[in-house]
Amino acid sequence: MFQALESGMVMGSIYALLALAINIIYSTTGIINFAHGEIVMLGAMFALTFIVTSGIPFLLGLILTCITVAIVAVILYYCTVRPFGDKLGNSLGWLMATLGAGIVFTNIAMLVFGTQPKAFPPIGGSELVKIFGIKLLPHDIWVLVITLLIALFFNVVLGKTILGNAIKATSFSHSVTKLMGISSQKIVLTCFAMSGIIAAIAGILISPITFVGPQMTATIGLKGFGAAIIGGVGNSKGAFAGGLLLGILEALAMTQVTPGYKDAIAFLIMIIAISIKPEGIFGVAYEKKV
Amino acid sequence: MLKVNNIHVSYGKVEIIKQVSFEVNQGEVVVIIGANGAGKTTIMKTVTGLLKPTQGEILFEGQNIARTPAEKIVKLGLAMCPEGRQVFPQHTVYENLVLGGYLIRKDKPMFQKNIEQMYNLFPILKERSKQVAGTLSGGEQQMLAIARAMMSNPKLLLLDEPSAGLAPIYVKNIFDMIQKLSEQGTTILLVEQMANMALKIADRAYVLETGRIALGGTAVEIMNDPKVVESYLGSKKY
Ligand SMILES: Nc1ncnc2c1ncn2[C@@H]1O[C@H](COP(=O)(O)OP(=O)(O)OP(=O)(O)O)[C@@H](O)[C@H]1O
Ligand SMILES: [Mg+2]
Repeated sequence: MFQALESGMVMGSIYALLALAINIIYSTTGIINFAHGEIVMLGAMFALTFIVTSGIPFLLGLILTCITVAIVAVILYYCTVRPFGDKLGNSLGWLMATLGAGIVFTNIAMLVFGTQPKAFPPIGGSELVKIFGIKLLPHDIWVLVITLLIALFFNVVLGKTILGNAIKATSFSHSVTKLMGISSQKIVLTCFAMSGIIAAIAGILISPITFVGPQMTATIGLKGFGAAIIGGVGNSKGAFAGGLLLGILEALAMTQVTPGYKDAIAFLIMIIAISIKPEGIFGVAYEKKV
Repeated sequence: MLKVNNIHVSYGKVEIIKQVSFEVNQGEVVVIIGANGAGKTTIMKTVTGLLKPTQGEILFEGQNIARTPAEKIVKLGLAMCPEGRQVFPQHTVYENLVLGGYLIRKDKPMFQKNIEQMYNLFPILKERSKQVAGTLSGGEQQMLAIARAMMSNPKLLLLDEPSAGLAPIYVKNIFDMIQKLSEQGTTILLVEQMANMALKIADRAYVLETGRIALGGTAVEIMNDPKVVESYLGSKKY
């Protein structure tokens, strides 16, 4: 039971990181980046190349991965979102474009890295440590701590800084934000870069759990969207809560049914959550003033 | 200060603004009046750079800004209070003012001075500084929208129908404020359907009819033009 709870929190943290990044982009552009799971996969691939294959020290490798993936996310913006202009709500072009980009990323990964999943060392070694009588892998603790730190960091950035103010303003209206002398495009680019950095970190954190391969995030990516929706799209606290909730429920359900049903259970949870509270647990159905 | 020369503006293939020219001189209050759908908002958006003209030039202090991005035009000293107020509904009153002062954020004393000035001009904003703007009344939102635009120290302030949807008492209030801002040295370009009130505080006026300037002159001339009296001043709404 405790073991299930613990592994649920670990996977839940990963879903939360995905949901957080999906939300940042959603809130300023109104689009859902369907290539996000694949960007996380690329993060894992780059980390593998830098840290395992090239033997670059972990921290430096982490920074390099973050920079590289942030650049990939910015390129993704220019290729799949920018061509459709500011008024993304009016077209669904971005939907096909981001889905397509995801497929392109997977195929590039297959070509360059091969289809064979590769191992990635867990952070802090593979020796179990004992906390409150429960045996834990240090890596799991790192996942929880890093996720919590990132979520807190975002809460502060979005709630307390001028950048956060400008991001919130951009979610309301690009043109009114421009009238303040703020380049809404720069804000959107910043958000894409931030989503790339979170994706890189998420990629490094799941690699030891899933192994590194082109398909590693195929279902995890979908669960990230699920977590974002459960929490209320566009809400970063909700993303965090939604991710953890999904991870924990999924793990608890696993104690009752055979592992083959894992993904089915996760999607069932998502469907139930969405039908009970379509606007998400933290979502508010805004009324527009006329 | 602002000189608009023969601009044409289209949405897709539909040309809405046809060969429009007008100017605003330093220190003036200039009003553009016109019926619904005449193209007033389209002109304002074009001057602020949110829309680009297909032809013509827009000179602001001698510099052609027809191709300059909106966020750079604000830097030159041209701010707009957009149609429908458009305050940031999820930000507090204070945060709205902070965003309005984004360009002067590094100059802390100036920023503080501007905030104080706006609180003096609109005391209700000080009272409501921590309230979320979406929950303000329409009149309070309009004051906030004007104050937000004034935070960047504009030389020229554009106001798009500041009186729309407001109770008469608020309308009077808003026009008094506009006059005050003008007396304090801000040049003003105003778009209004409340032609009566607007012409009273204006120096000069233009009449816009289906995307063309039909008439231009001093406020007094326009006020006494028989056609204007008939179409825009005839039936007093209150
Ligand atoms: N985004 C748009 N796409 C297509 N047509 C538009 C768009 N915005 C405005 N129009 C059209 O352009 C014309 C002028 O609109 P505009 O908003 O400039 O009028 P207005 O004079 O400001 O009217 P009002 O007094 O009602 O605010 C209208 O016929 C309108 O339907
Ligand atoms: Mg209008």
